[in-house]
Amino acid sequence: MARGGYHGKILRVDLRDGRISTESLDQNLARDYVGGRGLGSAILWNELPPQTDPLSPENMLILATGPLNGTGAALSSRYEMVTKSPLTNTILSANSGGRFPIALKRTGFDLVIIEGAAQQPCYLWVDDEKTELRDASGVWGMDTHQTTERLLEETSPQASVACIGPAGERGVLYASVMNEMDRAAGRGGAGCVMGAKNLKAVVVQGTHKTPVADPEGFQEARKNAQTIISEAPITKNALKEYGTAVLINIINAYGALPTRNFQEGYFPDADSVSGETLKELFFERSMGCATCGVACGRGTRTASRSGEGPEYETMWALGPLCGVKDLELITEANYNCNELGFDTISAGSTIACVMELWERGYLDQATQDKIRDEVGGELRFGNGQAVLKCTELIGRNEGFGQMLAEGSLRLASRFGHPELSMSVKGLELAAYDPRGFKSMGLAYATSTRGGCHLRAYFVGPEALASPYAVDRFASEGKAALVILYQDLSALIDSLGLCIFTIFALNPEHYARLLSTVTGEPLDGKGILGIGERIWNLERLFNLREGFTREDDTLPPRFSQETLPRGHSKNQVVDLEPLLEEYYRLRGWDPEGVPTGQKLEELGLKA
Amino acid sequence: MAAKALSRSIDDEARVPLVEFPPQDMVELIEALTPKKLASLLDATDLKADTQEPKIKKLVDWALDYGFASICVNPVEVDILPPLLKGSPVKECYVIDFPLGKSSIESKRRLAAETVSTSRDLRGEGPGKIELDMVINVGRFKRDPGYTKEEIEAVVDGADGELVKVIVRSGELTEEELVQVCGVVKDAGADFVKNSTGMDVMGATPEHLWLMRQAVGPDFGVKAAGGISEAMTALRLIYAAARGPDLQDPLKFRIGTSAPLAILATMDWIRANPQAWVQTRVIPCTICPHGQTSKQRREVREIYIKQCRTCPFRHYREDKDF
Repeated sequence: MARGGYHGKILRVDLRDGRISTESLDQNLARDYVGGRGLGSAILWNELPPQTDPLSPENMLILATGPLNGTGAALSSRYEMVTKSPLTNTILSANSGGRFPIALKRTGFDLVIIEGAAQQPCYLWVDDEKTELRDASGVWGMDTHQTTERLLEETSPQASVACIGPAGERGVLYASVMNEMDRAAGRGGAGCVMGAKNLKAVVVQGTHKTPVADPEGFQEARKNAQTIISEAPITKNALKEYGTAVLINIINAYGALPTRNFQEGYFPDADSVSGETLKELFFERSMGCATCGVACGRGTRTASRSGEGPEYETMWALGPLCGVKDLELITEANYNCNELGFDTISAGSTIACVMELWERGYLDQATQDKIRDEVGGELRFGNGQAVLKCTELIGRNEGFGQMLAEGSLRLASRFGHPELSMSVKGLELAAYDPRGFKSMGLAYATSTRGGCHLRAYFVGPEALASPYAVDRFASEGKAALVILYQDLSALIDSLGLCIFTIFALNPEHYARLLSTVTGEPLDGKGILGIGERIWNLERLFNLREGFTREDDTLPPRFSQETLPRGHSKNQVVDLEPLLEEYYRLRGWDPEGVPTGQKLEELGLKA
Repeated sequence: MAAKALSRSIDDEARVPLVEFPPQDMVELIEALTPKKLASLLDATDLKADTQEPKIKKLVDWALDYGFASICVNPVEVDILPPLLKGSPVKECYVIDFPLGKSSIESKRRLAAETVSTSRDLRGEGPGKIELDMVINVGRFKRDPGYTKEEIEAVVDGADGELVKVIVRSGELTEEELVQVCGVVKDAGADFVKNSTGMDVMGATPEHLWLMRQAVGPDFGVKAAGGISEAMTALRLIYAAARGPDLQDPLKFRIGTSAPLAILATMDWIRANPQAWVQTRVIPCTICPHGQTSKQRREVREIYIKQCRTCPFRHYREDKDF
């Protein structure tokens, strides 16, 4: 039986001399790392010299599809941008959905590797086997919407565009890569890397079908997975009805909705910035990725503008985290982030950090004057107009926006208070206070790309009863389960599937999908073994870059300051015991380094 | 605490509610219960007022694919279900006088007999393919247990040898009454005692299921229903009422659920790392009947709340919000 899931080809583009070449995909590497995040990370680990400056031409940018892209499996239109992050210096894989992932796969290439930096702005146009680097000076400076429209005119109306906006061009360290205008490979600054390479966009279309080794078996596995997804409560109802922002009221009820830069976990006006209110006031239509029946995306319109979102994390970061309760301002600030092309979580968290610095009197007079002058007022919690203005400044990397564009850790350190950056390894935390969800503390601290919630979304059991409800304050068993979620999430990101499938499917489902596509037998245990290999490889990458146990930590606020009110009142995080158990269960030494035995078991070399 | 829970006795008024489960016992249970075995204990249920034929066909597809014990629907669906299940081992299950149990004894008997007769005619496979889940009149039981025995006997008579399960709406009973009604169900010639309609004041709790099993013994059927939508809840109920392999038999134990696929999907999730999943704690009050009193009548609620006040897990209610 033929090995399916792959076209067997990699497109390599060297922007230094414009050379474009085709390589064969190493099938053994694909077997060990599957695709997407795993395969991209393995190539980065093998080829990127240690200590490479992320914004230098030597850094690599890898667009990686998975074996399920283009097969028709449910929720299978996700891809990964893999690179070394300029925000964190860790390994980075940023995930996005829409039409682009399947369009990329249909070009007949499993991965696109971009190296070097172009002398002039350019974009890559891939139309099946026809590949071309084109001049992008005409779209340089345009926002992501304008760029997308123009490039579709220049190439093909059926094509799909992933591009950067002004933020990526101008070095915002958390610039994103946007596809279909409003879909973001958002976290960690892949867009900044793209901008440093003078690469404005990648435009793709194609006609290649993803081969499937066992069509009959795959159809059965696909249908089974689809049925489970359409019956699971979260994917069946909640996400479909209100989008991800349905979480605002839920997480707030737990007293774990980070408010005013994580000083509180309860936002009294949460309902005014919720998915329910969004639906009532600005919602136009549901928007789904290709192959997705959940359609959690929100097409929205305010009095003057329209676009997609905000999603939960965005609504929170530009809203409660900054003490803002005006949903229209939040929605428009979200439009700014999408159009100018940068990560909404890092942006909102950096603005919130400045707000706290301001209110605690840690900003010098000159900075305060500069902010007043450029933002039009004091940057205090609750000032929604200021948040909106800040998103413009960040996107253009102008004036005070230049400080904001560095992210919260660099900014807070500049004013002598790094502890007020709510980040791990320099990546701003997401919308779940670890004092209210104890596993999230461990998940943030050990995430391979910094303070990310999606590397182990244990909010499922702790808040959403998926697969079932557990005591969110207890620590028993949590280290092992965070590992389980990390490994499975690494695998999902490598298959080309949406992480939301985790609300419905289990490791056996993923194993059946993958094994019927590739034609190689695999069970749930084998799937988790691949996820573990990917996770350890990412760990090795970060260790090679100089990260240590000291970096597996949380901002001191979480262990020193209790939440003042709400249903997580008086809680703090006690990370160390969990971290020790985590290292032990991972097969790492007390310093968090994978042991030789573990590496051998996984077929890895340090 | 777990040790005390294990050594508890039905007569011990100071017993701790069954809200903790020894991890090793649970791991053994998880490892023994393959998804196929678990599927054989499920009654896939749809009792909504607006249920239409496509949903029933969907349930049938699932039941045939996964091997559920039965499909449980309202009796009006007897004109649809039998032909769909013809030739399969999956049984039809119809609820009788659902959900309140407030019809007369004679009308319960007539409905049971009519349903059985229609089903047999349409399916054409003789007896043994039908089950009836009848609801008792809880109000009458509190005054006159003899009446309850009579109405169960009437349904058993109407069922003409088919399996009869008796829904006692356990959340509306004191625990003394629950034990008492289990005895009546057994004496009246039924086959199963079932805790809830899924629409009354309380769903399935391990404590009630444990009490029911203790009351009827190992040779009688116990069915859990109400709020069972994932595998860990199902496992706790199995621990409470069907721990031994002999009891994990469709003739001794059932789970009624409108989310059978979610239960099976989450079972494989748990089986991916049983040791870790069983270490995680559940908040005891969320699975204890004494903590779910908001819809109960005052006289029952006061008894439950009194037990709650002396519970060793009381600190969960005092210290934590959940």
